Amino acid sequence: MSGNIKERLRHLEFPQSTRAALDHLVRCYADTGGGIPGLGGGTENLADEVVQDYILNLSRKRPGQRNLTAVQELQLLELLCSCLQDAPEMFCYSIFSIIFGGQVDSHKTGLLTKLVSLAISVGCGAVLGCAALWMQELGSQSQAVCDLAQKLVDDYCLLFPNVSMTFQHLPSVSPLFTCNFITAVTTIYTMLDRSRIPPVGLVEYITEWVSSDPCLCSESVRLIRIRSNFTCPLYGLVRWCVIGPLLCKDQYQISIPNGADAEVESHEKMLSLLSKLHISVLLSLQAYKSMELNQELFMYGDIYLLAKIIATHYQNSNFKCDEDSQLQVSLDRLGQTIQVAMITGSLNGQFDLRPVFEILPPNRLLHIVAKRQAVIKREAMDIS
Amino acid sequence: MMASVMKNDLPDEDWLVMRARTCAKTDPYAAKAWMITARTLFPQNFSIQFEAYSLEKMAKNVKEAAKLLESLYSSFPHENKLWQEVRSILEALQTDSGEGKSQFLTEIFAAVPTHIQCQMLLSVAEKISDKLEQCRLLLLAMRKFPNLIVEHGLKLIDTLVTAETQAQYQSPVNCYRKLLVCDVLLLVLQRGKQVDIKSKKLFKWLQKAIEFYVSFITHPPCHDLPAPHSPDLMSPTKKSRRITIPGLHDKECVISDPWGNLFKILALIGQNLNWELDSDFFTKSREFQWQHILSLYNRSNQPGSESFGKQILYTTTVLFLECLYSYISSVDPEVFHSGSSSSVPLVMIEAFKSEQTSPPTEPSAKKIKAETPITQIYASKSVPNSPKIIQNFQTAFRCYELLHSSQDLQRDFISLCQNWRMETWSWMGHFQTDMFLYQGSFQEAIRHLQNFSLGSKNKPQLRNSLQLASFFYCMNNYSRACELTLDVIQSLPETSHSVEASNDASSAMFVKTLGRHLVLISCTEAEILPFCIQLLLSCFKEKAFSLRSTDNAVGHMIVLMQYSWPRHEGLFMQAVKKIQKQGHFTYNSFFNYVINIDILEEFAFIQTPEGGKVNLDILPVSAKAIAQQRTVTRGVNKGVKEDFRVTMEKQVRRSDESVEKVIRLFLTEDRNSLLEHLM
Repeated sequence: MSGNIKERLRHLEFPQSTRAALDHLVRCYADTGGGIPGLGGGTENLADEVVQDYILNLSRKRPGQRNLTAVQELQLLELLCSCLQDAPEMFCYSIFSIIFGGQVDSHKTGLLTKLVSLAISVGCGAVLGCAALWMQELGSQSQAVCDLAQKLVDDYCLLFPNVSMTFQHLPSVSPLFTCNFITAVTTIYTMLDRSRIPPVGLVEYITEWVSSDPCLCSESVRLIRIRSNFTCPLYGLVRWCVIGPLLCKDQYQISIPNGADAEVESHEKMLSLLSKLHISVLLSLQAYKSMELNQELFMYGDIYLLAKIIATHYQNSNFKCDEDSQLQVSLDRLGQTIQVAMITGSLNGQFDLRPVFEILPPNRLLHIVAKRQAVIKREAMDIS
Repeated sequence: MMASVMKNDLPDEDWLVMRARTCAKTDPYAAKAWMITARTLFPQNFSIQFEAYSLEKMAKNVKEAAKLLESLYSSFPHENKLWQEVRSILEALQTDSGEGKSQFLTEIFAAVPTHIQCQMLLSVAEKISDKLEQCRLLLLAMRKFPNLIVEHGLKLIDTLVTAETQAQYQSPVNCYRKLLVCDVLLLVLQRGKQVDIKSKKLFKWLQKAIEFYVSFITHPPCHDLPAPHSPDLMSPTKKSRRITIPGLHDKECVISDPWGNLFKILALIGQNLNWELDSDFFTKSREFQWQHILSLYNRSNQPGSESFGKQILYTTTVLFLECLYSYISSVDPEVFHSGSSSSVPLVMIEAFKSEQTSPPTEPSAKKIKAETPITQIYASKSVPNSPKIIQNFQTAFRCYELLHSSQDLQRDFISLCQNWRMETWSWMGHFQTDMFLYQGSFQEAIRHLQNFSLGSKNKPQLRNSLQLASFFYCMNNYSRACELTLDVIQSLPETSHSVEASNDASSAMFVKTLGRHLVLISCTEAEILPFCIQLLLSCFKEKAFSLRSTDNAVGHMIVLMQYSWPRHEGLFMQAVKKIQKQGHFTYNSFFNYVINIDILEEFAFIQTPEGGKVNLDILPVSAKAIAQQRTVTRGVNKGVKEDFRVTMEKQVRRSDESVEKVIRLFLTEDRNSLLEHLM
């Protein structure tokens, strides 16, 4: 039979050949009851060969081969979309893996990126679900995932200036994909220097997503029950909210002499978005607590790093601490996040926060948080 | 702003609240972030938690506010400020005015989980010292959560009963009674037999309900009611009424369909006691209702019918009261409507004995059943809806009779009446008068009327005088009847339009043929005047043909006959025969008041030899006086004859004059003579 299929495919033209190849893959999984792909070594190799020849290599530019036209490539993507959509849910990801899994190569990632972009625009949950798991497997902060995320940002936030409804409704199609996408995006746009400030449009989407679903950012953590490692977008978002005001202020001061109205407007929009995003993060932390996943989301080092950035910024600026309102906003947000994170168990409450606070300029909230932490610790000791 | 941020003299808790408040207007997200932080820092601090709630409330976040309210309620159950807030929410819930603020509070309450809502209502009700307020809240709680009825219903009823007793209200229409009989009772009774209630209690409640609704319905309504002429208000049975009840909000004082409510309570209590009473009993016809009661009554002596007694007592009493109310509101609409009603009062009076000379088979649609032993009641055409009014009266009467038909029933009914102090229900008076009339107990009726007529106003006075006159006439006290009638006529304004056309028909109605019959007429001049004149005429007829007859009585009768001529032509001919027999007739007012051409002709005739050569002394100046003046002059009679002829000719020319005017003049000027001749 294995010989047969290769024989049969050879006589077919695209797109019939690819459709038949995909049908064959689905049937393989159905026959083996959804078990380990390619039971009995030979089948696996055969499937791999079929995938290489009739899916991946089609679009690869190779000398002496006919390349697919743009329309044909779109046809290929549509075939993949509908194949995954129609495949039984239990081995949908296995089929996806045999095509896009394994070694990362730029061609495969490129095709996947195009597939995901199409899936977003047509709202294909099956593809996005698989892509989300793929991101989870590679790590949402990995280069490949970041490349994919960057491409989506280009497609949906930069090239296309208007609000895209399909993009806005992404969380309702695949919350996990959205969650991992946010993680990747905060990795690209670190908000650590001026070149790494996220585009306003992107911040707007993310703020909208996070504020309308406080559990969204915990989607990836939820998988801890089946996968040992996880990434979570919350730390990245905290960084945006805490460092954002400082960076934006700097950038604003630079752009002011040019006095472009649009820039002033977008600067103010960014600040107000970050304020909404900040409260959404705090609410997400509260929601996270009620989900009882019991994973720490922030490390001591994360917090220390944030403090360090603020401190550096403060030292470099020629403002006094209490005159710099953005600095105070930044410190207040840091304090609020630390407090809520400790209460919700997303930051270990046993850490000694004094070294963090010591490097920071004076702030009453931080002072109160430290005091309360001391009181709680003492009470805990008294009980024990 | 920076200064306030740095302010260090505030305690940490207050400083955090201050930070949240400062940015609430400019950046609500930041305010919320501050509140979340503050709440986690000081979870045991009430004012921080409450502030968080207030902020959400201010930002109109129903869900969040409800969540915080719930957590406040469970963490700080003893905070005064929280209680005030919960109370104001519950108040908003009760008034339900739909205004922005109370609407929002209602929404918050709705967003709180049901079991917490229930706890809130009960615990607030428990804490409130004001009894009325407490009862209201419990009522609200039971309405929202019917499961509470079984546990709290009876308790609430007892509380209301006790509160009413303690408050010592004069009137049954008070706030506690209203909540009891309009709201709580229905809720509890609708639970059916889930609630176990002793029958003694049920009867007590039923009595309270009847007393309340009857007092409420018969209470004069507020004067500031808009549009009293709306069709809904005009109907006597189906209407929503509003009167001011101290302690209640205006909205609470409106009861739509009060009779319907009372029937519902009776039906529910009946269900509870396994009575034979359908829930739609009171929508059936009067005849059906009466037959139902009658059948119960007839079976009440059979074994196994021990429970019939109370059933008959209460069903009959309620039916009696409703019929009575409907009857009285048609007969004397002003009693319940504080003078704003446009309908005319009605009056029931005895019809007159028929004139012997009337042809016995006079065709009239009204007189169908000859020789019916039952007293018939007819209504004039101007009475709207008369069959219904008469039926209401007759059913009320039958019920009243039934309630007095056995010792047990009578004892129970009288004790009910005493409990309700029925003697203070002024509108019962009307019924009793009409009832005595219906029974033919004129003596009783007169005594009753004379007691009740004291202090009543214009129109009822007219009704009372009319009825009294009718009763005195029936008792053969003609002079008293006549005096009252003359007073009535005097009080009537002169009709500008001619009513004579309708006279014939309406005065015919007053005369009965066989058996007794009563008439129901509108209290309008057009209907009263013919009746009055008929009454006077009947008085004089009795006198004129009696042994103690006088010429003046005959003369007065003839003057009165002109009204609605030629109805009384037969009677006139009888009078003429009598005069011819006498051979002489003296009546000096004759030419003042007799203008009817037929009568004049007849008188001209009877003095001729062919007519019997009657000696008539009917000129304004008596023939005797003339005779004295013209002493011993020959040809005296010739001069008199000449005078008579001339006067007669002159009189014929007056025959176009209005008979009503002439008769009215007659009644005024000859009042004394009229009364004298009936003594």
